[in-house]
Amino acid sequence: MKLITRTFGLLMAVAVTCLVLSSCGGGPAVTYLDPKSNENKIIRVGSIDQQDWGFAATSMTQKLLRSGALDKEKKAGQKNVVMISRVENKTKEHVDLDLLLKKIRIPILNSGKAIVTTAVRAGGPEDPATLKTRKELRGNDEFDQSGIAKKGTAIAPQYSISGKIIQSDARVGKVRQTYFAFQLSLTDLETGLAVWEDEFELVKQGKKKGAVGW
Amino acid sequence: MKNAACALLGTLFLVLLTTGCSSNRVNVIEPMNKSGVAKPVVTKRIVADKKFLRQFEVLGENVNVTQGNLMEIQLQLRNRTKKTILLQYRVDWTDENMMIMDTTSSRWLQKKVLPGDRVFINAVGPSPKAKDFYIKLQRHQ
Repeated sequence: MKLITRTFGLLMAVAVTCLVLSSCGGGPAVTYLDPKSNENKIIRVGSIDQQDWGFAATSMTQKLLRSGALDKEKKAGQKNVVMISRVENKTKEHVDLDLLLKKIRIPILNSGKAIVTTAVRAGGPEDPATLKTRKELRGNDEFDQSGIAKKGTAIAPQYSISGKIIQSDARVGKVRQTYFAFQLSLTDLETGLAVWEDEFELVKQGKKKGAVGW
Repeated sequence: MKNAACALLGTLFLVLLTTGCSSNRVNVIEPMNKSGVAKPVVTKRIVADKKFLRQFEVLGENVNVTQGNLMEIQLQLRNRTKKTILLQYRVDWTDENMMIMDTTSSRWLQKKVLPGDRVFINAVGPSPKAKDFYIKLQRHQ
């Protein structure tokens, strides 16, 4: 009897020690995740999550490049120039649309098919300080004028990208569903015609507002 | 009483067996003689997950070059199982020197594949410099 009690006590002690050690050696409360992966990311039903921007941008960029809309040079010997026009956020969240647009601009530039201009953009130049500085340096005796950009050298865009992100919510009992539509158009500024258009759709559904998962 | 209980159990068993066997697999109708011409590519497969091959059948691997001189690839898979599977995939590209081209498009994407259905994994190279590719596939556990 005493032997059984002792053995049981010893086993319990070992079990408790293992539990304590495993909780001590457990994973960190905070960890780094791969921004290009989907694993263990937070998924929120009513919002666009980090990985969603990647899905949308990758899908739409691949289709744009495959379409060949930017293949033909408008001006011989010069890459097509694209400007970012109005992209409306019609969702319920305030988001910086560069989360999407930058992920589209970079592949366009890397493809060698076109260049995006920062001098012209809906709402004003992307980098107004650069244009302002050019003007200030021009005629300033302190600077070697031969190295400063002359008037009339900035290149006007031939195409523009515009679009919209739309959100639609639905609810039945405890189940919530949100539909997002990312819509983009590439317009030929010479003709005013849309030479490429695409829509990426995303539907998220769940009983909770959000969870960690795939 | 005993016979009635046995009959009831037997019926229940049959019903369960039938419902377990039935599946909502996708059926496909396609032209017998296709007008399109695929350009197949010979690939090498490194299988680290044998269950993946039991769940997915590789139906074809095609390669194409777009008018803009970008390499385009397509992988066709079929879900052999009776369940919907979430498939995760990523395409990486290398240049003429076999150096990896890290692009914003090189990310894990996912597709839900219905039972018996086919899925097409497509990707376009990031630039004309992309000469080779690696398609990474992973099933959701």
